[in-house]
Amino acid sequence: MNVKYKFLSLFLASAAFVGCQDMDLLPEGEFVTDKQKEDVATQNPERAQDKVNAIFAAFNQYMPNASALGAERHNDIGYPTLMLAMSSNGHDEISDNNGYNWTGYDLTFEDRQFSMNECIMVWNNLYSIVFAANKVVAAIDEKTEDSEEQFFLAQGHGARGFAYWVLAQLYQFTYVDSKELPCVPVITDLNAEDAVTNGCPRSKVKDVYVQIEKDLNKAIDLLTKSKYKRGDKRYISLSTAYGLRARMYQTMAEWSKALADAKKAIEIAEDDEKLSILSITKAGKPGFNSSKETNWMWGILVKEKDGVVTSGICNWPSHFGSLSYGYANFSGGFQISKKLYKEIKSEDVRKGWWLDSEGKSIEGYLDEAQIAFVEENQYKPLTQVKFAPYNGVTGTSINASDIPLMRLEEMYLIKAEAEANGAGGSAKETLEGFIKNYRNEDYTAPADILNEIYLQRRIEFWGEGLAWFDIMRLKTGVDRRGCGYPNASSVFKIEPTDNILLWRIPEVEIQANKALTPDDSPAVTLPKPVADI
Amino acid sequence: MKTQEVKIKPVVNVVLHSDTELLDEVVVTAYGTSTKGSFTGSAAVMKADKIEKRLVSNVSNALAGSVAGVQILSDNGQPGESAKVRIRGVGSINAGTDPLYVVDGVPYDGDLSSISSSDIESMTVLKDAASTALYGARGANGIIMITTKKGKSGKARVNFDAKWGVNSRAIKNYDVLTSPKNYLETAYQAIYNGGVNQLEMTPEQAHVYANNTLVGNSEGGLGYNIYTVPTGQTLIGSNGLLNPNATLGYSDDDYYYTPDNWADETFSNKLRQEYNLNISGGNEKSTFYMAFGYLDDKGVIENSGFTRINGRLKADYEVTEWLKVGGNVSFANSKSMYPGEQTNSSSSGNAFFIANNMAPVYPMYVRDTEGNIMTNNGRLVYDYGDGKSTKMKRSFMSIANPAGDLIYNKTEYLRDAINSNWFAEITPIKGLTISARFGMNIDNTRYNDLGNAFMGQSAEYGGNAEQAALRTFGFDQQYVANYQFAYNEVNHFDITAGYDGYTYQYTELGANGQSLYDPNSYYISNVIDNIIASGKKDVYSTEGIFARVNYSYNDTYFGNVSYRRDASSRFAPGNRWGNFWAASAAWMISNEEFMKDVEWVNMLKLKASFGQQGNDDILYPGGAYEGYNRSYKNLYPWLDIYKLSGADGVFSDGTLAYKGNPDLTWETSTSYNVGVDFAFFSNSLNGTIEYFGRRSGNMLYNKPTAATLGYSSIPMNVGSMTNSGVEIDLTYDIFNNKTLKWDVNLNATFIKNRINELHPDLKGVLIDGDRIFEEGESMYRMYLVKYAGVNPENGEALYWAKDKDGKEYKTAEYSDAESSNKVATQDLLPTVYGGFGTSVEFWGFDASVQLSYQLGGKIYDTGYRRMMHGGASSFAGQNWHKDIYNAWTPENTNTDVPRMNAQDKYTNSTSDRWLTSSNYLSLNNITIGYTLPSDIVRKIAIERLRVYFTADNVGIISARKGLDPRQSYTSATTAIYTPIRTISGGISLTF
Repeated sequence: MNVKYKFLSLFLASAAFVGCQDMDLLPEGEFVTDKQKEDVATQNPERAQDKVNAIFAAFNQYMPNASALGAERHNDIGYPTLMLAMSSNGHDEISDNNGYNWTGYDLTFEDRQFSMNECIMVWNNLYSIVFAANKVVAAIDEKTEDSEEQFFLAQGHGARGFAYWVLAQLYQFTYVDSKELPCVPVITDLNAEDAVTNGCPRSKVKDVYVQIEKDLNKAIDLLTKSKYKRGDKRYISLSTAYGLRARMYQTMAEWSKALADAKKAIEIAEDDEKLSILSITKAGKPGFNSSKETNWMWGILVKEKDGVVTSGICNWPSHFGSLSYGYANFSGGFQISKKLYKEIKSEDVRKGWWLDSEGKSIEGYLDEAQIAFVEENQYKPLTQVKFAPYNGVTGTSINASDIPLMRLEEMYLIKAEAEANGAGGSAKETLEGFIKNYRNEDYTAPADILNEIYLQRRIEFWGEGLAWFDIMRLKTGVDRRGCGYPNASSVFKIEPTDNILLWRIPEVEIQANKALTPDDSPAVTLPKPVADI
Repeated sequence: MKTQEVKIKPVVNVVLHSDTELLDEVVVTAYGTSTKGSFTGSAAVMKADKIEKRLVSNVSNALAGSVAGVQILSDNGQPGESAKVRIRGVGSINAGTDPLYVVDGVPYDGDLSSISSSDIESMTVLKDAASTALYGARGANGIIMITTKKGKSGKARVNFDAKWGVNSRAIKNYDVLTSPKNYLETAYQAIYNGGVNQLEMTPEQAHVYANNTLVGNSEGGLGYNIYTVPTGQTLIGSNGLLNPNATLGYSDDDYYYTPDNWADETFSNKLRQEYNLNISGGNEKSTFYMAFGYLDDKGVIENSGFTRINGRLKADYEVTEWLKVGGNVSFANSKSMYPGEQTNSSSSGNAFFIANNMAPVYPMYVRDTEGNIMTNNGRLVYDYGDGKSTKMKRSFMSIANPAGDLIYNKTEYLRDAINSNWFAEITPIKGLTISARFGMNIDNTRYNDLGNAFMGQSAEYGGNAEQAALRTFGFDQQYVANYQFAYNEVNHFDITAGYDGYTYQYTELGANGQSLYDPNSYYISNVIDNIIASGKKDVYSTEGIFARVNYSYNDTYFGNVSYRRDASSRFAPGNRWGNFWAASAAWMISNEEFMKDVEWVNMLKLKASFGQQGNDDILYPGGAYEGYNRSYKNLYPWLDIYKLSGADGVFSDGTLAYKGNPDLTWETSTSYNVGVDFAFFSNSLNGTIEYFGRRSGNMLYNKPTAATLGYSSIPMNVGSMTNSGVEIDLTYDIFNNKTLKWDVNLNATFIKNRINELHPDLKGVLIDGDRIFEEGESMYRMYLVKYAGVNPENGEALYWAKDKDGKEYKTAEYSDAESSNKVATQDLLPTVYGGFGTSVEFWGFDASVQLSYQLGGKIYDTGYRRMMHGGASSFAGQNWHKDIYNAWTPENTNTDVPRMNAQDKYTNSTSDRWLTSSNYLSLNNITIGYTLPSDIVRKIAIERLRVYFTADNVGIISARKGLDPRQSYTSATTAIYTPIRTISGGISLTF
């Protein structure tokens, strides 16, 4: 054969060999796809449970809405986005509207405009918890006998119940007198597929609560059966599940049920889970930064390598904490309302949770480094020093503090509130038992026990994202007069029936959800500032 | 035929040059070349002589105004950065709109800045389906074929070119306030008005309140005091004017405060220098080209320079009569100092944003009580406005001082790029060639980032360091057979068939941490805290088979049919393959018998084409990106993508990052092109007129979904869109003789965009934030609240809202207007865009001017909007445009600028008020040169010597000073790395 043809055939043979590209390509590293998850789970069955953790990852995410907003917002950090917004909407947790921190739109209620970033983030974050929970509920057989599966399924139901409990309180007035009013779309594992094509209308408030109750009942049932113990406090334990249901009955003002659940939660927490109320000694210095504390029932666990932490400043301690590095150093952080601060007895150990009206720390509360840090940052009077920095390192830029979602103290206060509402037992005894032993040795409860409980809740859970729920539930409205707001433009007196208190469904949801119309997100009028007192 | 003088050599090779050069001009096409005469598609060529005039560090920028149908958008002037090239409009809402670059026949995904523009022989822009169909898969946005220089047979030639120049800002800021006095008085007015109007104060109370607030850092205050006022007096008098006893400059016990000019301190004129050397030669069996170049472009801000050393070797060799081989290897080593955030509009690190928007009341440096700028171990101390640098807290961008960051921080990309290309071509029988071509592009980039430990944000945690290794690998293999034969002399056939497989891989490994030991070292072991590392791989591939038949009859009738079948790994296996075909024809009328007598017509060709192309380039929703390489491309849109996270042994793999859609498939565009090419009057007037259309169907789109589903968008093939228009490209030689050559050229593109069809769910309209996409309308419309001017009674900004009955009314409540009455604006696209220029040569002198323009469009001027605020706290400390002097006051009621009021929230809210004409005329290039007479230079053994002077990117005239409408089709800001003007002198030698 001619050289030419030898060469040619060699050429063609090699071409045929090299040719034909591999077209089935998947990413490796940061992202995984369903196919890879299945493969991994086959090789290592432990990995199959990782989707459960997605529920709790959704509580703590770095800029989960970047693509939805088309913007990178430094307060786009998962559930703490809501905590920041709810705190700033209220009248107990005060910050300066200085264009530098991230609370301005919440202070002015501009966050209610339906194309605002906060409006979208609050909505999306709650439904992304629902999404992750639905995936878990759909994946596990509800009749499972396996302890571990029962535990994981309970996480799906419990977290979903929690998400809808929050949604129900943000998007409509409180249950007691708004049962028939439209609330939010209820998407579960059962209608998730249908909602893709047909959208999902808003359910009535009462129907949302039916779903919450169903989910929490199921979670309690599964956790009661399961022998599996949670690895850490990001997961919902049996006491947490009772605690969540106690909260729900509290919101519904079903006091005997609330009492029973609170008691059950306390009993399981203390006996089985070895939890206890924060001691008076421990309350006498900054804390609330680690889920390992014995008074935490449930929390958001934050790790050093989480995106929110490695971002440096896009995290809860940066915005809220005074003793670590972040936004608060430069924007003045958060102060307690002057009115509320005045209500705290000087013997109460919690008086130290804030700088005094001179801007000084209560003697013995802060250590030297903390005092120096406070001075360096020129914190104003009444600035919070309740929350310790991560690992107790003053000024740390590693903002990996855990974030509390539920504490044992709350169960005692729910119990007391239920008792004060005639569900049986002695509210006075419960309240004094808690406050006297753990917060103020000289304490005696006043006669107006119910208002005293409300007050104790505001003090005890200040900064933990619960105050707003009480504003809605107890119909106090928002009255910022005399609270010490630095901006005259932030001083409002908002009636408890004012629609501005309700969050609006975002414009994008109205446009994309076929079952909704613009009437589902009516316009609101922003509050007008009033004279301060 | 022109006569050629040939020196007597043992073997005489006479190359005959046709004088119908116009027809024989080579057009580089897919998998081969064609001549302009027989080419049936639409293509435009930009050649080395034009490219070399432009002082560009990235060759894409040279296309501005030079080629009909091509529009250049540039929203980042960082040296070395690519421009956005749009060929015949934009065919998709959410898919990539960049053209495919093909370098010497091989698709190129590397960085264009790795190719030295002096190595480029030509850039051919392929615009219609007939030209691009053979790259069917990725050709929907047009193709830019880059052909590198090649040696020619004959005497060896050595070219050397050197130029030195100065960079400056081509676009200056808007007309902003420059006097601290005027700024303070205006800010006082805003705070005072807020006190009186909203906070129910008496004028006296408001006066005190405004004076107190002005130096505080909330409620519209500035946070700084820069005037010394006698004790007991106020800074601003009750007449609203600065206290005449106040003196500029204020000292507390520790520091002295006086404003600096941030723009002057941030921007400076910097050097650009470039040297290129190439040696080429060849004989009848081989050619050889070798080049070496060095470029140093320092930008206009500190530490943003681009340096490149590049070399290239290109050779081919005819081994035997039937075997030819060749290779082309280029290597580029570049260092791009690339400070991040220079295009991130609201970033505290963006020096342009901050210098352009900083009120003229803030110091940039920390000064001691004597007024001297303080130093710390020899380093200037910058004022970060954080209450720590000094005692004052700046309201605008506290903890930011990008000028300081630019000096003490470092961000750099060190790139080694190898682009290589080998081929072997066998000719087993006459007319048949079979070739294999392998193209390999490797880019290894090191990213290093240092956040300084001395001052500013990063100093708070002792500085930070980041290192990353980014590797891009592209490999292309092509096997092509081509058979050419003639039948009966007049029937010419040219048949091509082949296979093309392309694979792309990107891997990265990065780590970052805090607390620097050595404050100047970014190596990761130099930090001790918060160290985290990440690594990942992305992959993509395409493959396809293709065939093409070209036929011509008697050089008068031409026909072409092509077909390609392509697969992309971005789609599910069942939806992976797409079929793309094209057909075209041309009629060379001037070759007909009946045209013989029409002497003024030298060439007249009618051509038409029709065909399809594909696009698989779906992007992440909402402008999201991933990885160190900031990739916007979603390479796995058919799959649900979950983010893997976790720590301490607990994984989470269920957080949905991007929703996928297995039904997703090719976006297909169908194009047609009808045109005439002509040359009249002894070839002195020549040009092309074309009518074109491109209909994209099954558009790739990220459809927004209800967030209640757990995700906020899903990729889909949605609807169709058409871009159509007319292109004109004319060149006229006014003189063309031995002593004087003078030509003028003009190109114009008239283009219309129309959405034909959207997803049926959308019922004809899709609203995405402030954009609206509606069937029957252009995609370039915004969806905005209508501005209703100023309430003459009280000066509030008014907007049009609608009541329950749909009746419009004016209101100061922006949110009412926003929820009841957002409306679509007119089409923002310009009616026509293009370029024109002229060049002249006489007695050794040469001069040319090149301009580009755009007319008849609108742009949303966000830069101006930001400068027209009412003094509200969210804008406190930001500068005003001088138009603010026309704000409403009780005395000035006939104005459309609302009152100054720090409590007003809607003074400059998003509305159609900010739509501005996007007309512009930009002067891209002026070049003047002189070539020394050859009889002089030959004496010093030089064949040719030219000295020249070039001004590149000279300036722009637009509707408003500071507005650069070239940034995008819809909006413009001041928050980007400004375009650079370079004025250079140079020398070019050939020997």
